Amino acid sequence: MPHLTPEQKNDFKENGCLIIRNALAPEQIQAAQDTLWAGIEANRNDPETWVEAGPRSPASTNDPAIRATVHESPLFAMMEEMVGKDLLNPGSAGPAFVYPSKDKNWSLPARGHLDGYYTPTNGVAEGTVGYMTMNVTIYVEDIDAKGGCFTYWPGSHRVAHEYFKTHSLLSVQGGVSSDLYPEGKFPEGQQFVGKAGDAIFWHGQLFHSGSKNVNRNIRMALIGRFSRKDSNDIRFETNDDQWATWEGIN
Amino acid sequence: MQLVFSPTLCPDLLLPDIIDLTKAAGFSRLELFRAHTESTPVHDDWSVPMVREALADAGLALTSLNIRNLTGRKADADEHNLAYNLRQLEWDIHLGRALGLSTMNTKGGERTDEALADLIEGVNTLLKKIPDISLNLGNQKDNRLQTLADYQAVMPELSTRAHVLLDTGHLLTADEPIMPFAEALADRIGHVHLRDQKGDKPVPFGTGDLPFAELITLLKDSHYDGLLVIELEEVDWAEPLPAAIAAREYVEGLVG
Repeated sequence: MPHLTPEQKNDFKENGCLIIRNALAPEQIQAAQDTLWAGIEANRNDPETWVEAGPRSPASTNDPAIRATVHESPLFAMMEEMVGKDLLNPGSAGPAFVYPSKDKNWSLPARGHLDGYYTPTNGVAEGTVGYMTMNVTIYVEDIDAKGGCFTYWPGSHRVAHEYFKTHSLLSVQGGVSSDLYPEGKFPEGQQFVGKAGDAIFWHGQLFHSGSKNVNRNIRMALIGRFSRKDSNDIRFETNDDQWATWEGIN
Repeated sequence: MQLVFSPTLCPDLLLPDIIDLTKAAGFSRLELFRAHTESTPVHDDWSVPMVREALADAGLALTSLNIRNLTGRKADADEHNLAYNLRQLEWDIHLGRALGLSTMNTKGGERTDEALADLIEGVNTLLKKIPDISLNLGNQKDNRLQTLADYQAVMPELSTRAHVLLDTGHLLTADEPIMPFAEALADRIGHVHLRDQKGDKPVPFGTGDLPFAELITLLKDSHYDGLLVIELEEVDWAEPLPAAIAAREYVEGLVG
């Protein structure tokens, strides 16, 4: 029995992203929250201590409660429905928190970026580009607008695909969007506002960004990046059809 | 043995111009460099499929790619980090695979014990991780692989899919006798870069210190049936095109 409808797959194809509400069961949310709070350097019962607390990643990706959010929910199966059965490396999602800021001035991020690109501090090796097929951001806390939402640019995966037909993967310095969009032409991003248990799938070449959290809640998100098992054979290819290798979508 | 054109003759030319020069000089095979030349296949305005298409349209075969050196170091911070460096080489190797290659050329790092250990561990790690490729290890002055003794220390420690890239120009620059080097390593030679020099100065083929006839005979006797890359650098005795044609014709005359 498939988890996704043809309409949902078409949304992903068109927008490069797809929101799934209630992807996690209440007990999965609770288990993940408990695990994460054990690593947060703040008092769970005192929101005042959450402001600019840490760390950014308070639990291991391999913790059973964290891993369960992808593999004991429908999320991984949904990704396989789009990419193809047994074609993805299993991977997991890791915590990526945004703590409430003292400074309450907020604005929508002006630009997004692509993941996998080198900067002097992010661990990506210079002169390489990481390859992700599909990613997922999972909320394990309610996140309202301006609360550090995952921010994304629907349709930007198609712009990236067209660009890389005639440019090196390495031509986008730091993965920033300015190389792909003329100055002043970058569209307005959208915040992923959701409840604990909601998730958004996003294409590996979708522009996205974090954002500032000026709300009360910690932006408790898990982000998973998933690559095809044959990534090394296809990472340099830019097929005319962007979905040529997506068995569930093309 | 098959003759190959090297873009080192005109390092500032972009790929389309190198393709034109290769054909004009009478070659049907071309080698490229990941760095050092503007004809690199990772130029901003070229996707990998575009590179493949340009070569195919010109009727040229890409025979080899010189990837980054296996230094064991993180270049942007000059710190020891073999894993980081291997990620760079792995990326380059898959670039080469996407271009249709199964053999890549690389070199070592500095002349230190650390670089020696990293070279051995790194080559074996890459060849184990990527089973459908082989690596040619080139010599160069002041590189971890400079002398015959360097190779004699390293090669027995490596997978049999690691071979020697015999570079005559760099041997001459390092004042390393060519024939003893070639004789001792004959059974592991996987790639040859030919450049004639007087000392460290490139000169027209046949007028320098490179014992062409002896070397070609040795390679034939060793049943070497690989590539002979015609490397011309800093040509100041002729225009690039006639220099390339003359070099090709000279080597063709020896190879037969």
